[in-house]
Amino acid sequence: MSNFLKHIIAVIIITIASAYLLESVYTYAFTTGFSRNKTQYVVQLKDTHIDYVFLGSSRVENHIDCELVTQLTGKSCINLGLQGSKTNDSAALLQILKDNNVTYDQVLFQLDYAVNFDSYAPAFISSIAPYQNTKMISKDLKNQLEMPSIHLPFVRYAANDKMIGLREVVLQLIQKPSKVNFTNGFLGIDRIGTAMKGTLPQTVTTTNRGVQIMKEVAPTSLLFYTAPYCKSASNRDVFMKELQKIYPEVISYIDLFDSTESYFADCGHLNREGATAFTKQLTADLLLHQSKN
Amino acid sequence: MLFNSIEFLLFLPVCFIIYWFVVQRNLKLQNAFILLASYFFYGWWDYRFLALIAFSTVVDYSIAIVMGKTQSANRKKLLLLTSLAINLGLLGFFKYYGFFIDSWVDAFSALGIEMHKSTLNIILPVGISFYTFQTLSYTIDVYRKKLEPSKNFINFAAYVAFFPQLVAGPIERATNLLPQFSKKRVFKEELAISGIHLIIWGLFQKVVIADSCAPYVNSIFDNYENMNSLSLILGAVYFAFQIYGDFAGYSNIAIGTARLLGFDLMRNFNYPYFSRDMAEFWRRWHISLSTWFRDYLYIPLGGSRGSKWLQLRNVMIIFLVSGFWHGANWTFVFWGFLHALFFVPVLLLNRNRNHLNQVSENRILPSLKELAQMLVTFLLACVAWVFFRASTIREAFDYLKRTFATSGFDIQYLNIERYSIEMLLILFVFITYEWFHRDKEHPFYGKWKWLKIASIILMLLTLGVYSNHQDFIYFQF
Repeated sequence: MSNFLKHIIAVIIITIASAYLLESVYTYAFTTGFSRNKTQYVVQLKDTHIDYVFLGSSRVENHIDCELVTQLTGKSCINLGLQGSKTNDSAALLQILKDNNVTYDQVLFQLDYAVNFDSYAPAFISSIAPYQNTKMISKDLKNQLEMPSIHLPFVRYAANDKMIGLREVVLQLIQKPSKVNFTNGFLGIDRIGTAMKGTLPQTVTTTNRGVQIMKEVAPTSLLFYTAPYCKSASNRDVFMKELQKIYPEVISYIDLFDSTESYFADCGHLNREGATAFTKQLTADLLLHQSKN
Repeated sequence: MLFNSIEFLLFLPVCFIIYWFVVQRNLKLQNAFILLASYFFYGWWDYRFLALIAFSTVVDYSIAIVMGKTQSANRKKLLLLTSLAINLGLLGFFKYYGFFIDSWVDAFSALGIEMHKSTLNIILPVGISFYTFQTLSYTIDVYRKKLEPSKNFINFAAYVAFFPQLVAGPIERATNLLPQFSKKRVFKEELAISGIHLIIWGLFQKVVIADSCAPYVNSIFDNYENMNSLSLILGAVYFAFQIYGDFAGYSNIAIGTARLLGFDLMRNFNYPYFSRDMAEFWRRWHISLSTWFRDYLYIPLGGSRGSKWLQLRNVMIIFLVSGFWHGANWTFVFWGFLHALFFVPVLLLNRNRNHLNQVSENRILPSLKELAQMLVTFLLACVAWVFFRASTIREAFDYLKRTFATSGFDIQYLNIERYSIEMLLILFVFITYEWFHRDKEHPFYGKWKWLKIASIILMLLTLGVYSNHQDFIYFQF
């Protein structure tokens, strides 16, 4: 038995040593200062002021061209929309901005069916995972994200291997730039949708943790709006009615482009042309109009 | 409970400690513990189906006991037929009921007669094909007087439900495994160490090779209509490695786990993609199933005795039955049929036992002839795998037609994390590892043993797929 036990111990030691080694390499790669995703960019953004911060899902990332907002308003703007993100992810990003002493005048949050979910998007959890045992994110945020207090080497990288696996580490180390320019954060879609179909829920949950946190973090500067959906989206009007019942302050642009179908890439997303038109409209309504007031 | 899960990572050491440190002095207790652990392992999926295993166990145990006491040949035959009817009846009901109803209705519908389809929503119990064949081997061997009926119910029940190989084999013969339950087991260090090595290698095959190939395979097969020739070829190649890594990986973990408990199971895979013809392939692929069919179907049918015509008939029967064993879909039957077609020329030319030795024995690299033979065999296997993976026979034919018709050879973007070139690189490393250890059951031998173990562990950590857990493919059979 003794040889067998020695063998097992050796295998365990190799595994643990490999895990520690990989943990160090991976964490180094993700915390060196080069950003390949918006979460990294925000974590490393410190002591600055941004006039307008846009938060939400791909319906922000693909819709709001911050360069255009800056041209129109003369003020700084950042689009922190994340593909597939939930309200909790946006709340976490807002919390990071606060922790990093990044100030802003206005936070514009795109409110949609994501308010029915109380969860974090796997992509966001993956992007924040490298900071789990570092001081780069606050304890408050760690609590908010319910990150485990026990730290096992490499486990978080293995659990998120799809997004922060070996390939991403290599790209991070060779500093391959992302296709998104983070100072703007806009990612346009270059196609016109055909035979668009979509479905929205008929109900809206009465409370949402992410929205609640955002209201606490930015009580006076938070503004809710809803981006356009194609007119063939089923339950669209019912959904909007329900949403406004729970969030009366939300400004609806859901039917803004009902007569301009060519602005859509698919039912829930505008293409580049649509995004430009929407950014102009929203800037005129909510930012220019407001600054004049 | 999956072998590549946290639950199993806890379950196995607990079993090992209780087995060798708590109940080691008493064989009866050890066997009872194996039975208990096996039922717990299986019940983790669905405890309701434990009754099915228990039922099969009681039936075959009782039939064998009565068979052993009976002198009348007719009565023995009747008992054997009863066992076959019950075991195959259960398998047929749970696995093939819906298939037969669908095929029946489709056949009538093709004749213009519309029939009402009333299928039950039957859940397939995990591993039913494997343990059914295992219990069948027992009753057939008792009938053939190759084996004395087991007088110890616990031993027999533990043999049927032995957790390392319960759900996906290797399909053990009663003549090999059952006697091991009656012998006092002494901890053998070498056996246990080789078990650990097999578990590490099996995990690598499953978590790195099979699970890395899976998203490519899904992405290509699910969108094959939009794929060019290169992607379709890669899809078939990736699936060949996915199913091999998946099943060989499971088998190696099963054999390794059994060795930790002092049991020696039969080898199930012997580097099948280094085969030089289809006959050799079937001596190296899913060995426990192909030898099962050889012993309990091919030989009783006459085997290679008799005229060529009879031999061909027997070959066709075992391949079709083998295909059908895999699943209730015509695609599997066609897969079996294709393998029979590939096998027939080798048989007709009397070359089916040409390659009994190891390829490139005592040489580092294969000769050009050997390389060509291996590539052709692999290519044929890949063509057959397309039918195995496709949803329908029509889809498989369409897939193959497009492989030759679309003629695009640029690397297409797939919505997955690794590029094709990275996947090919991983496969190249895997093939290299296998090639240089093709005369051994795993790569961890020689003076570089620890370096190889360390490199595989490192690859397991960095290249393994953990966030997108894939079930073992053979569980569905």
